[in-house]
Amino acid sequence: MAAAEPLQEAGRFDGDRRRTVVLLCPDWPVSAAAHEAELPASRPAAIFTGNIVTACSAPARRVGVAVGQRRRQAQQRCPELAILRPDPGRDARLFESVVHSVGEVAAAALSVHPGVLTVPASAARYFGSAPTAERILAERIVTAVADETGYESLLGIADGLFAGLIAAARSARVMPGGTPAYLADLDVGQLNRPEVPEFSGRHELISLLRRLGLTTFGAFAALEPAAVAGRFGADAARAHRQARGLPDTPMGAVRPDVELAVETVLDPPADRVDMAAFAARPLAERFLSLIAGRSLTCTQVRIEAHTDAGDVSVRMWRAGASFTAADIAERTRWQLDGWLSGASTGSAPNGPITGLRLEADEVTSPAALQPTVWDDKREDDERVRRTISRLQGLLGMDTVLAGTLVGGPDATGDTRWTPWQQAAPVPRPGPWPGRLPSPHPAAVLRRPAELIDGAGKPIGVSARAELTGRPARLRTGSAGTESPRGSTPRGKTEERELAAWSRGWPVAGRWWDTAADKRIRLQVLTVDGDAFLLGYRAGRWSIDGSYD
Amino acid sequence: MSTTAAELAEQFGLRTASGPLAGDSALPVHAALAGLFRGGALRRGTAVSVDGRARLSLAYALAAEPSKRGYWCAVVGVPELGLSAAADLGIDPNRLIALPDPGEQWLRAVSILVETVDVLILAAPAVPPPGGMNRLHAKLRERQAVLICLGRPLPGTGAALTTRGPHWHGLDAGAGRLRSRTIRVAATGKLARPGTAVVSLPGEDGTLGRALPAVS
Repeated sequence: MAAAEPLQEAGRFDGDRRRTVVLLCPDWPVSAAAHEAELPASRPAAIFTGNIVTACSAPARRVGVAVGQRRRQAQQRCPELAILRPDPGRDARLFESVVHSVGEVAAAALSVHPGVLTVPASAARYFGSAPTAERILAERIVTAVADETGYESLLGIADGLFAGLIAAARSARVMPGGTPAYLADLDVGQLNRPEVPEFSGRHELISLLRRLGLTTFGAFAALEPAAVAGRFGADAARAHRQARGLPDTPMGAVRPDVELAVETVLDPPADRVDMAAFAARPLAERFLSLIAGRSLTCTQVRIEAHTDAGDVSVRMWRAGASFTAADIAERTRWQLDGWLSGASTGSAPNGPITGLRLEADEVTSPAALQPTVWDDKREDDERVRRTISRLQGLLGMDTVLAGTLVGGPDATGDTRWTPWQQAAPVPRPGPWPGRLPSPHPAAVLRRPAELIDGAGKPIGVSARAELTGRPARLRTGSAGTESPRGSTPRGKTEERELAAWSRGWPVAGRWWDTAADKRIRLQVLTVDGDAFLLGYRAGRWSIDGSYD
Repeated sequence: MSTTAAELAEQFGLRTASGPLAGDSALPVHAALAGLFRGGALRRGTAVSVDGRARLSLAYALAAEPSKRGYWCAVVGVPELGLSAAADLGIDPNRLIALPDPGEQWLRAVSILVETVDVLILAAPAVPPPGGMNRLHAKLRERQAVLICLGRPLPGTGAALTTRGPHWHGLDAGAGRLRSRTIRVAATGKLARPGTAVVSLPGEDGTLGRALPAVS
């Protein structure tokens, strides 16, 4: 088992990739509801869920209305308060027009949640060099939203979504690399971001931090990450990363190397949103099992719908850490709702929807310990996380490992072991021609061996990948063993008589091989029923696997 | 559900209507191996040992059914763990914790792990002191985990599985490839149902299966 590898491709997550433009429509549910009710923006308005204020507009706030108030309380402060009802479908539908207007400026616009969208700052490269280009991009986005939709919006730029959200709320642009310093003085109360459900619900954590005397992001950030994860749980660990200005998208999220997509044909074609949304649910389930089957979690999904007339609607959606099929189906419905009603583009498609497609635009490994798409989220996952932290505290990070099947020419090189709670490696793109099919060796070893014929002569491999003799015996333990717990005692030579062997299979070049590194694989079976996978490289045999 | 009924059911290896209701007192075992255990399942809070050829595959196969159902597994002291083979048998790599080399503190690591993990495969680096073993059994019972020991049964093991007569199919002298293995698994111990199961471990697709009548 190989020791942990350093975080792969660390450079790719720095700089450009993390730098994010965040557009925030403040109090979006209220704006959307007021727009639908055709109320003027200056009229104080609030959304009530049941009898409680769950969102209110800036004019309402100014006269003392606040989230959490009862209806009578709010009306006492503001008798002319417009009372509006929550409707997530409406919020999403109307936000489509905002996404569309931003999409005209920067195609990579990504819906995070109704009211919040992001654009990778790299989109600014068309406008010249940073930082001027970023300013031009920001201006164009804000202008496009104001001109085309009339909604009020705020914009911020920082490293990562979370910091960008804070920057947007204060209309700030944080210079590259300056995010941790920018956040350090903020009050911990800011950790709770009601605009994005994933970052909300942190009141308990915040009050706990205050009781501990940690009132600023900086003070919280100074805690040991392992201690935070172990004692306060996964979301606190995430908040902690965010407070430190680290990327809040799951660690190691990358664009998949292979196309991970599912699609479906709608027959009969759907001319209503609910019909298409009905088909989206099983499609989303298929999509999630495709992703989960590769030990991945999707963090960014691209939803496409098309008609026979050639109209296409494409949107990217940020997929939360624990997205379910219902969440993806809901986003599909939001998107189609906006499209079919013509709210987003100004013109509805010609004809009914005939096809839906979901594609993973960005994936990460669940071993990064984000809550994942596991179908039955069990409560003990959180407990397991704590146990792992505790063990890592006792024995060291590198002793508690998570395995990822990354792919490879055979089962002896297709696994990467990394410490739990660290970014997991990303699967390497296949296909792997000539990969040995199942069964795979139950034990992966690397132990020197010799293959000898009936006369005791060592067997090698010819230039045409053929064995130079007829194998009769397998000799092991001639040199020091690498795996301390093998069945062969260290240093003792042992010869096993062979009953059967395969022909030599050349290994189609591994990416780390040099030209001289030609490799042959061979399966052998001893007379007493033990089977081994042998490897031949640089003129030497080794036992690479045992079919124990 | 009365205790007597449960006890009787266990003693005679009967499945009773209340079995499924008993729910969490046992972890599922693959149908090809279920006949080796009283109650047809791995009783929680107990230890099983697997020895002989193919013991590693057999251990993976025992852990696989719980893993498929979302339980967590840990593998301690097995640096050679072949994840592809384990995954073929049904172990979910996302819920597998590996401690390849726990070092001197292995017994402590194991007793921490059984607090949360449901199935633990252990290759004990040494024979544990009797006191340590008793504490581990007590913890297993308290936390209702199942311990699968590789090699000779540790003291207090409830069921001991040993394999005999592995027979590989598909490989000849200079031709073919390993396709499947037929192996006999015998069980002893107070939680075992005496008898032998003939299984293909692994079968052609790397999974566990009931072996077809032997053709030798």
